[in-house]
Amino acid sequence: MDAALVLEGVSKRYGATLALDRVSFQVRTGSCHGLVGPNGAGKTTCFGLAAGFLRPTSGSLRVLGKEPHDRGALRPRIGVLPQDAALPSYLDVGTLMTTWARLSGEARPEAGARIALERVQLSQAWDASPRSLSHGVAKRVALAQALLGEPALLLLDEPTAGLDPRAAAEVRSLLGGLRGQRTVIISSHNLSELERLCDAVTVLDRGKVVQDGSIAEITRRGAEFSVQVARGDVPVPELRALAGVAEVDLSPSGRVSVRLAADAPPAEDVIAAVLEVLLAHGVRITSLLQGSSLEQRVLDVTAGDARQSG
Amino acid sequence: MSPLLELLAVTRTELLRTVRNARVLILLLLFATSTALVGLILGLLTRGLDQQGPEAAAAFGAGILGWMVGDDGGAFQRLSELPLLVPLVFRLTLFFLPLFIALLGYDQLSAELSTGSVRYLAVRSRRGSILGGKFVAQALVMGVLLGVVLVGLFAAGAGLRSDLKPLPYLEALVRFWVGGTTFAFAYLALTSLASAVTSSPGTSLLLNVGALFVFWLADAIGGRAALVQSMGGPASWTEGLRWLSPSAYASGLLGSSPALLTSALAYAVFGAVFLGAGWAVFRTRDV
Repeated sequence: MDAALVLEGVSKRYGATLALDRVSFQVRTGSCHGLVGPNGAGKTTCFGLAAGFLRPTSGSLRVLGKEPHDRGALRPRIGVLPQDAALPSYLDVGTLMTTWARLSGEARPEAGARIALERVQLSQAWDASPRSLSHGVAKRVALAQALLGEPALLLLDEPTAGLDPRAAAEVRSLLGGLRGQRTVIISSHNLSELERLCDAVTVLDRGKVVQDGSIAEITRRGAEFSVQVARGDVPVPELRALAGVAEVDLSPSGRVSVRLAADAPPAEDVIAAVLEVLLAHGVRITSLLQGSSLEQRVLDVTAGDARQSG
Repeated sequence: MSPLLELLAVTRTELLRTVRNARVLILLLLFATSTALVGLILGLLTRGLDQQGPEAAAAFGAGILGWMVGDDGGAFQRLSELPLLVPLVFRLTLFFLPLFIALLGYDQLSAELSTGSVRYLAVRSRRGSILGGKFVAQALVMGVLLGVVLVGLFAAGAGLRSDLKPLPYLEALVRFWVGGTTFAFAYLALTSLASAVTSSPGTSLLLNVGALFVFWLADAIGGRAALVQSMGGPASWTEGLRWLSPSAYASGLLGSSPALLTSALAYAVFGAVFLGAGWAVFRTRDV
């Protein structure tokens, strides 16, 4: 795999606290990759290591084939959106962006700054004071900063946190547009957003990788589906007897989970057969979900933890 | 971008930040006001002595100058040609300037490190440029401020004596400014070091003030040992302690040319050591 980010046995210790414990995963070049997990799982530490803000206690880390601290080689190639979106208030947005563009190595700093602001639809904020910006707009300015210099790798820590739904949708649309053009790594608690944006995710819990793979693999889209029923008696034995069905579970809330056998016919054929049986028995169906949501998967693999996965 | 251009870009931004920061402006105003106040009080005192007669004033002036420059005869002669108020206020200013500098810059890096929001890092600026740019910006502000305060002081001094020769008086102003700025730069470097190695503004200020106290203590212990020995007492290893403290070189800034050069060089070395140590830690630490 052509990898933009490779972590091999990376551990990071803060005093007595082991934030990352021999973490290994890779991010494919050109993909959108999510870092998820409960608070304290190690997402921000992974992010900081990739951005070169932190140094690993042990293990090795390669960003675009280089050491993250190899600033000379990586500076024009990495864009970073830190979690804290607070902008310095002593300069107007245009001057701030031009300064950042200059420091990012843009040949024409002001032009580069204007283009980056246009991309986040904030051209009109050029003369504004950061003090007058709402949290959402400030976040988009910070995102524009991350886009300066057309970086090959974008590291985005909670890119839509604190944004109103419309602004969040605009940022998602912008990130969706970057798909395939550059590698994007997003650390976020918004799992439905990551499910929509990302090709793959790494789930961290208490400093360890507990799941790593493509969205399809993790949500098991091709391997299971569930049907939510409103009323009616679910004929579980009859469903279990259908070709291609390996297991059927009925939850107290009326969710019928169906796991497909390894040698099952195409999933859509099994789904059709299951629905046919349910309808024939007068069962009323409210929804069907192929695989599990990423949120459900993350909750499953980080289960037993009292912490919130928000 | 070359390291120099990067440093200049950070310096420019930090300069704008410094001059638009209300706290910094208040501190600068406080420094100028407190210097003016010290000048006013000392001016009234020396005027009172003048009224007691020229002999009393001369004796008092000689005592003060002797305290400031010791046995440096050349410096004594040169300073006695200035209004007493000028070297006296300058010497007292040097006493509280390090604390003022600590208050000015203790949070220059530590505040951003405490929130994990060193914005320059997001655009992958060299850490040396960040530290250096912040230092240079504050040094420029400090240099200008010292210039303004000294011009005010010398102007006030000119009003006290009518027999001043313009050229030597101007030369004394330049010497004081050179001495004062090298002194200030060394303490600014100490503030940069404290801010670069700590992770919160409070710890940075505590470390900075703690270091100032240790330096003052080393100078006081060493100075006392030297005094005891000069009065025929036994030699002590503690005498050498004072030369490890920047405080020990302050009186040389008022001395003759070799003493001024030695002191300025000492402050340049202290500044380089503090800044170098700050850079060595900051370039490898987690941010």
